This record gives sequence, C-alpha cells and structure tokens, in this order.
Amino acid sequence: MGAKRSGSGRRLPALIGAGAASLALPAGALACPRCATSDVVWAMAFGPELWPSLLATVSPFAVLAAVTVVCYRVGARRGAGRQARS
Amino acid sequence: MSAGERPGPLLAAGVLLGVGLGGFVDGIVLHQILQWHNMLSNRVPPADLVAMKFNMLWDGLFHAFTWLATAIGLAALWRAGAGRRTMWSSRVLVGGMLLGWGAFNLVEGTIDHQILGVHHVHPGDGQAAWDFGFLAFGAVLALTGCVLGLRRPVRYTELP
Repeated sequence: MGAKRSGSGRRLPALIGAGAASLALPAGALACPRCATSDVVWAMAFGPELWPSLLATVSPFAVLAAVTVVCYRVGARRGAGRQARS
Repeated sequence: MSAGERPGPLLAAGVLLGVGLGGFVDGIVLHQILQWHNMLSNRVPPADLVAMKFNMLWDGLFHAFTWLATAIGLAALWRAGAGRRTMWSSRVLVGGMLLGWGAFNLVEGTIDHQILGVHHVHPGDGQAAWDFGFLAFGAVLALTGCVLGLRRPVRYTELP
C-alpha cells in the first residue's frame, strides 16, 4: 500500500486492456448476430420442432428437481429420527 | 454433531450443486472440448453451419439450465448455512454433490439417450456401450454420494 508502482507495473493494465480489445473486436465482427444464417437457425428453433426440443432439454431438470426434494425430505426425516432416539 | 441436526438442507444444496456442475462437465467436456455430441445432434446432425448453430442454440439452453441449478444450489447452501439446525458437514455436502452429479448422468442418460434418443455420448460404432458407460459412471457416483451423504455419523463418546 502506498508503494510507487514501477513503469512496467503501470503499463500492464493498459497492455491487458489493449489485448482484450484486440480479441473482442474481431469476435464481435464475426459473431454475425443478425445475418441470414442466424435468421434460418432462429426460424428452425421456433418452428414445429420447438416443443420436442424443449422437452428434451427441460425434462431431465424437472426430474432432477424432484430428486432434490426427495433428498431434502429423506435428510429431514433422518434428522428427526436421530432427535427422537436421543 | 448434536441431536436434532438435519442433514436435509445441506444434502439438497449439494445435490443441486452436483446437478449443475455435472451438467457443466457434460456440456464443456463432451459438447465443446471433445465435440462428441451436441444437444440435438442425433435429430439435426451438425454437418453444416446452420445445423451447427442450431445445436449451439440448444446447447446454450442446456447450459442455461445447468447454470440455474448451480445458482439455486448456491442459494440453498447459503440458506442451509444460516439455519441453526442444519448439520454442517463436509461429508454430507460432498456426498450430496456426488449424488447430484450421478443423478444427472442417470436421468439425462435415460431420458435423452435411451427414451428420446436426441443424442448419444459417442455416436457411431459402439454408441450403446458409451451410453451404458455414462449410466454406469452415474450409478457409481450416485451410490458413493448416497453412502457418504446419508450414512449415519460416527458417534464419539466423551471420556470422563
């Protein structure tokens, strides 16, 4: 704290910033958020295949939420059982 | 560990964190680094840019749900830590996380690989063996998690 930073120490954040910008700018240019390909992909995703695809993605997580609730209840019961025995 | 302490809140938080982190292992290692499969690669094989971007979109939604599971798990862990009657034990947390990761492999492997067939772990020759290996690995993780997380703690009696 309070120590003077050396010249190279001051330059480091600027160098990191310049490096990050040089990586981010071409990535932004190539990402193509509103090009013809993306429009086709979005049309495909929100077409008739939407609900089967959503089911495949979401249903495992719905089952896993139920598994978590069961684990909570089993854990709670074990705690209550221990209390009753002591 | 005193009487009346409940392992439930910490176990549930561990399970949610295990589901989220196990999902990230699947998504990052199998989808992105090894590129063995994508979310819907058996339905729309990623053979051109449009099909690849379509799979990328559904991979993103899958990652959004794993992120959500991790975030809810973190909130549950915070809440469990604030509870006075929560059993605070590394064994229960690690057991819950292993159980969550194993449950993720078992549930996702059964629904997406076996029932809906939207993708397979390693499509091509021997894909059934890879799918079975994924399920078996999940079963081992879940079993280890159950043993760790739900085992009765060793009780030490105080010496006079």
